[in-house]
Amino acid sequence: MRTDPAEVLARLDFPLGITRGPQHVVELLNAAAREVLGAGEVLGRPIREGLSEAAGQGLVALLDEVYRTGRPYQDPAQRVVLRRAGEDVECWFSVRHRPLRGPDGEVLGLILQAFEVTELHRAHRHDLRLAEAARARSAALQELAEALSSAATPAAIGELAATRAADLLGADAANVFVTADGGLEQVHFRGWTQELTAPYRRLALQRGRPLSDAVLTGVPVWLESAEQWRARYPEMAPVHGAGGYEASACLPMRVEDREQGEVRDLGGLVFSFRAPRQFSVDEREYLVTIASLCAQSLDRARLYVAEQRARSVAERERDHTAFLAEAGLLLDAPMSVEARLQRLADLAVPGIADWCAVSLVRGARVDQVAVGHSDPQKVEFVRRLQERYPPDPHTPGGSIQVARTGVPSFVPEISQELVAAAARDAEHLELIRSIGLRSIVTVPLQVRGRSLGSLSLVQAESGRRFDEADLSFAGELAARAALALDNARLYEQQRSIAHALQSALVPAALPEIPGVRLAARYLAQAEGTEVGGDTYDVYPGATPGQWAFMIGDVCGKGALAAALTALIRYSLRAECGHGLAPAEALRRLNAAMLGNALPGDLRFATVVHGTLRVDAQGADVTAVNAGHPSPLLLRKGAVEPVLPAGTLLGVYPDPRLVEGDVRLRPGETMVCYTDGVTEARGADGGLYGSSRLSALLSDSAGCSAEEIAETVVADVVAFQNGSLRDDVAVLVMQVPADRATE
Amino acid sequence: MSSAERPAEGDGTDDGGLRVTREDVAGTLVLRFTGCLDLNGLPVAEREVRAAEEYAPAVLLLDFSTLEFVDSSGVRLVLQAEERAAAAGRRLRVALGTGLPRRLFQVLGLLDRLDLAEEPPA
Repeated sequence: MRTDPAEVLARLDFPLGITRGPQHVVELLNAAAREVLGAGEVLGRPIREGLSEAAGQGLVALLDEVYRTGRPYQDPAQRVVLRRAGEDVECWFSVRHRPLRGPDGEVLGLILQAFEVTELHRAHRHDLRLAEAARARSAALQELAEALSSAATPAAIGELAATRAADLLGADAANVFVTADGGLEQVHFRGWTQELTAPYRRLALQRGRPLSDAVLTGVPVWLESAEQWRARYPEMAPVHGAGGYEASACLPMRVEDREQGEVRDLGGLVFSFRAPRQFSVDEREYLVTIASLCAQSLDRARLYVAEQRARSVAERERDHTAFLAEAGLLLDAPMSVEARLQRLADLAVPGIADWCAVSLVRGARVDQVAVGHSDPQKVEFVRRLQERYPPDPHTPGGSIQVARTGVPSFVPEISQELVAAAARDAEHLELIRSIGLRSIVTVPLQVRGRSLGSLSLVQAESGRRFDEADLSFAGELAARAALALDNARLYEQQRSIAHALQSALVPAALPEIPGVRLAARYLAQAEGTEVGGDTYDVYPGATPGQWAFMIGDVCGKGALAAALTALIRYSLRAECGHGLAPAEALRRLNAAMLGNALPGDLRFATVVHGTLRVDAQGADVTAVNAGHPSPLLLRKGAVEPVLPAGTLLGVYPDPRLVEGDVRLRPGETMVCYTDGVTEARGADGGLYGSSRLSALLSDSAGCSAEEIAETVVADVVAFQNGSLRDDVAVLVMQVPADRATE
Repeated sequence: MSSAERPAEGDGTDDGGLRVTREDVAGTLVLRFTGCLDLNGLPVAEREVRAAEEYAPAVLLLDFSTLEFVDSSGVRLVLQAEERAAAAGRRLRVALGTGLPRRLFQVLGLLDRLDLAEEPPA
């Protein structure tokens, strides 16, 4: 049985044709092909005529090419526009054209194959579109992630989430919340009116609300229509509906911290749509990814904020410490109290505060003594303001009240009401307002339970606000200032005590002794609080015509030295009044010193003590030197030490105390001095020494007692360039040269 | 005889130019003072003497012979150290040299009261 090939071909259900010659004369075209072409009878005619409706699409040119080159042509999806049912229809064919060769291989014609794949192609195009959409989303996610990486605040992150994500999804509204204080706080919204969202700026986290449910469970809530809203959240549905929205996606923003082993809920996102919407798996995944990106970003922001806060706290701490150190130096500077406090106020602005003021308690009054602001005109403005409207001493928390009560006052945020309450009248209010007070802290200057005044720090135009840390810093600063004030006060007190004590250690005036000229000098080492240990005295003896003198030096300085000096001066006065000879008087003094010594406080003294009996031709001196620099006798231009050496007092129970006699004749002078003279050192460290003193005295022959005392002291002061290292005392006793002729 | 010299603790010149070194010479602990011993140098000097006393040496020698300057602060230092040595049954010696330190102690009548570590000058 034979089968006609043409018959078989004709029955194939895919279009097939055979052409012959360069004009592509159709030899065979099966039914399927005819159906596609929709053409009439083309057998025996060039195919161009059968493809008239496909003219201009380059189809014949393709056939020409295959016929000419003999190379097959193949296209799995060739687009052809065909006219079907009176309409141009885009069709796709999988085509394959091959040459039909003769016995010698020459091209005789073409075998054409075309299989319509329009349906297949359309389906493929949909896949492509899906793929394209997926690619776009992935790019959008990448872009969002990038943008989020530079968003530092929850508000910025919220805005990105709302705008970018909503745009990509075609959401009509978005609402972004972050967790705060156990609830949710709105950080961004769009597509909602202020009125509608206003009541929902802060949400309590409670089950039964779509976003709360999502946040609390960590699972998104999908509401695809108003119906679903009403069914699942009946009480919230009207609110959502009022915005004109149908569908919503409520997504938790949550971060799982594997390292810490914890889950952090950071907030939630709500996207709303005006039309009902079925959230496809892809869309759901996409939205969850957006929420997750935002959550990570929020977490980073949270850490960033925490880190910033920690850093700024550390920086402020460091600034405060540096400031306190600087303030400490300044407060100890050798200036008046007012000048120091003004410097402190100037130092505090504008770094620590915009304004700084200090008030001091002065008896019944509290005076503002320092005001600091970086603009002197503002300082002047406030000065005038206070002149016109003196501060009310009874204002609670005012600088005067704080200074009086010692109770600090802290107003972190000054309200308009507070300003209004403080104003006396409308103009006053206007003037206070112009200062722009924001925040104020007033602390007492308290030391040892006493309040000496108050210190106020004020923030104004900078917009800064004080917090608890500033309050404690202000307290520390005030404590230092108060301590410095107290020290200054104590210093003044000590100086006046020292002055009083010092004046008790030497007589206010020397007695007048007929036939003897006396002169004395006493120089304290420095204008200070330390009382020196030098002393001298001249006073009447036990019997008429007899006088007593002493010069002494107690080791050390200060109150204990001063007390011992006083003991020496007054003991000798008393012993002498009892008629005791100098050696015996000193022995008793030594015993008294040993008896009065404080344990561990070894103090010794050196003393020259003697009596003076004046007669017509001069004076007899009987004296004892207890470890003191030898008095010098100036006689006819020569200088010689007198009196036997002895032992200092206050250390040994048996000091060597030997009386020596000196006869002072007219023109002769006895000079007693303390080691502040001979032990004086010059700038180069050189010692003044006894030889320089001797030379000076030698040159002073013929000078009066007064002149000699003055010369010695002036020379010692000059030798030390005006700054004494030790107290200096000089006592000069002279029998005038003209005494014999009197 | 071994002799190891080293700066004592708290050695410094911030105290009016006083420098103290400690040296152990054949069982005698020697504190050698150089520079200036006045009120400014006293705290350092006292600290060094106290530190030396911690070793409870049988003999502690305060060598003032190389001091450029000494005043009643140095005298007080010696007298107090002597008081403590007497109470503790130790011996305190002082070297004064021939210059200012000797003159100071001489004026105060202390040369025959102290355990001096050298022959008085001829």
